Amino acid sequence: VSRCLGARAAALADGMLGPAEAERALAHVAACPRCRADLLAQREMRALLRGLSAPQVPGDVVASVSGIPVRPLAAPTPGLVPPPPLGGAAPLPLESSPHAPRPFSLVPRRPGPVVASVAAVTVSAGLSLLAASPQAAVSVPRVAPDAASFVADHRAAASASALTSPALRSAEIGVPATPGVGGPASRSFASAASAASVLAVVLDPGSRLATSWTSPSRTLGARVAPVTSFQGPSAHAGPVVAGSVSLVSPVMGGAESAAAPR
Amino acid sequence: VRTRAALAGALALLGGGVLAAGLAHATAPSGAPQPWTAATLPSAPRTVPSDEEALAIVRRAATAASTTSYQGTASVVAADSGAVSRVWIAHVPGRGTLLRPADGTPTTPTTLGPDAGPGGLAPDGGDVALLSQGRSLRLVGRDDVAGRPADVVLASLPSGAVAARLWFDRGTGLLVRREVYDLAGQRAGSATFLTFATPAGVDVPQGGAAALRPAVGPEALERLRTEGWRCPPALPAGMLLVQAREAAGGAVALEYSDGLSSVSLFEQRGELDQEALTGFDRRDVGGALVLRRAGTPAVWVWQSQGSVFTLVADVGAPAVARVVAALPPDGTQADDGLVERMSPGLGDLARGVGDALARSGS
Repeated sequence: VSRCLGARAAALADGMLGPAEAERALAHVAACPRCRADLLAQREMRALLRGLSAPQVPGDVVASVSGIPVRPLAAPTPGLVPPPPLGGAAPLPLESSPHAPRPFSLVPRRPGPVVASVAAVTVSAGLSLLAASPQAAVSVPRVAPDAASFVADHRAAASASALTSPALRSAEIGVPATPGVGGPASRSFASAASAASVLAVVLDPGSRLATSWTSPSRTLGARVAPVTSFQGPSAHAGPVVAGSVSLVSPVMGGAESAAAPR
Repeated sequence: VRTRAALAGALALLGGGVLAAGLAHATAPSGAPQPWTAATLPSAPRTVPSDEEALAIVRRAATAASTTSYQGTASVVAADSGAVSRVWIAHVPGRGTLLRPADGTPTTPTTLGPDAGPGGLAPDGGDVALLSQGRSLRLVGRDDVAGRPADVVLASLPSGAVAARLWFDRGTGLLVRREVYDLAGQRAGSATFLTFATPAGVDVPQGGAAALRPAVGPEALERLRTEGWRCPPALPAGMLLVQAREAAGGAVALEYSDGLSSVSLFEQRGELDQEALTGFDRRDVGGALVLRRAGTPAVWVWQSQGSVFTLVADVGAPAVARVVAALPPDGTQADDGLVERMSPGLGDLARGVGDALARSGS
């Protein structure tokens, strides 16, 4: 016959008791239904708080707890003999005075553990609701994108389309490139406009290329862009003088000079 | 007077609608990713008439690669960096496209998979539909590319701005030169064949598209979305989802195309492990910090609402900024304008009405 656990049930559930004390406490729990119920409540509360599923309580424990007759609340009656321990193991003799096993009741003499359990269930219900919402995952995987694999996938997937195929975007297929060109203004220049339009070019001292397309009927577009390259067949190649306007494209349907934006 | 009263009434109705939408948005649970619904899709671009001749040329080009064997040398300017490369290209239908540096630099040739048209999620009409969506295509003239006659098709936006100039070889129908412009009118990449000949005359090994995992169908995609994946059906500037498939690291690979260029977006669920990424630097993209690995193509990585996004594309910084703004990195305030801020609220309204109709119908 041993001393009831009281507040030590929490410490036992937390594994905070020393080995010898824990062994004595467990032996007492085996003999005392009230402390057994306290310990179960403490353990369930912790399991719930961890957001995990409650441990499966063995059926025989449940049966033995619920099989205890309910008695009216009364002061402890001295001299009552505790029930035989579960499994027939003899309880370790503890020094404290024996007390009557408290009858199992939904209305406890000391409300503490039950209040704590109710609170725990409430908290855990809240936690599980939070966990169910998309923005509060309990465990979030760490992600490091595999850039090399993604680039390979991009190239393979993009090649499936005739009009957007990287065959004409070799920068995406890893062919070495020379950096964008500033270069001297006199660099050879190639035709860069549609045949129906007139291309006027102004290369200003800041190496910015201004172009304006005009057709006999309307202005198709104008832009100013940093000079990055001169490319294409060089049938219309010729020096481009900074600040000058040059007509470099073939002209169809009558030429009109274009005023390039500065 | 009656007209004025009608106008005032219409204004009041409009105001009420906007207020209700705003309220719906304000009271909607924030933080959770907005589900993508028809109501949150970008509005369909205005249809602009194209001339039939131009459409026929583009249709022919969309299938020409699957019937034409060719080889040539092309000069290519990257959209992102302006870097220029010269590439030798050989294409054999059904096998793929072989590419290597034109200057003879020893490298392993790249083999692309056979041209198979855009992916299974692309709109009906494939490449042609994507290209003509929100753009008018007009045949504007003739030119020579690589010494061969070519038709020049101009793709322009409803505003009149030039989106692209495309040169199509008259003999084969193939696209042989292209200049693409961004919304600011800046050239965003260009390429042209300098030499061109048929047939390829070389052996092209079977392309690597087989290395890709099978594409995901619309139902599987919808299921992913209900499980919290974003998988946006469209990106800004008319980029539509044309393919989705599984990729490395449990990612979903999403390929988008506007008929002129394609970008790949990879979505992974979880939290970005920045320490595990090497070769990346921090870049300010439209006020948001994202990780960028320079290169061809560039790789952009950021975290947004429980997902890690990786964008792989040869597009300029403005285009990247628009994509990032559509999937705002955590810790940044999306500023995509009043209308777009309102649209989730409008989406909620639409869903509420839809639900009510469904209830009353059942």
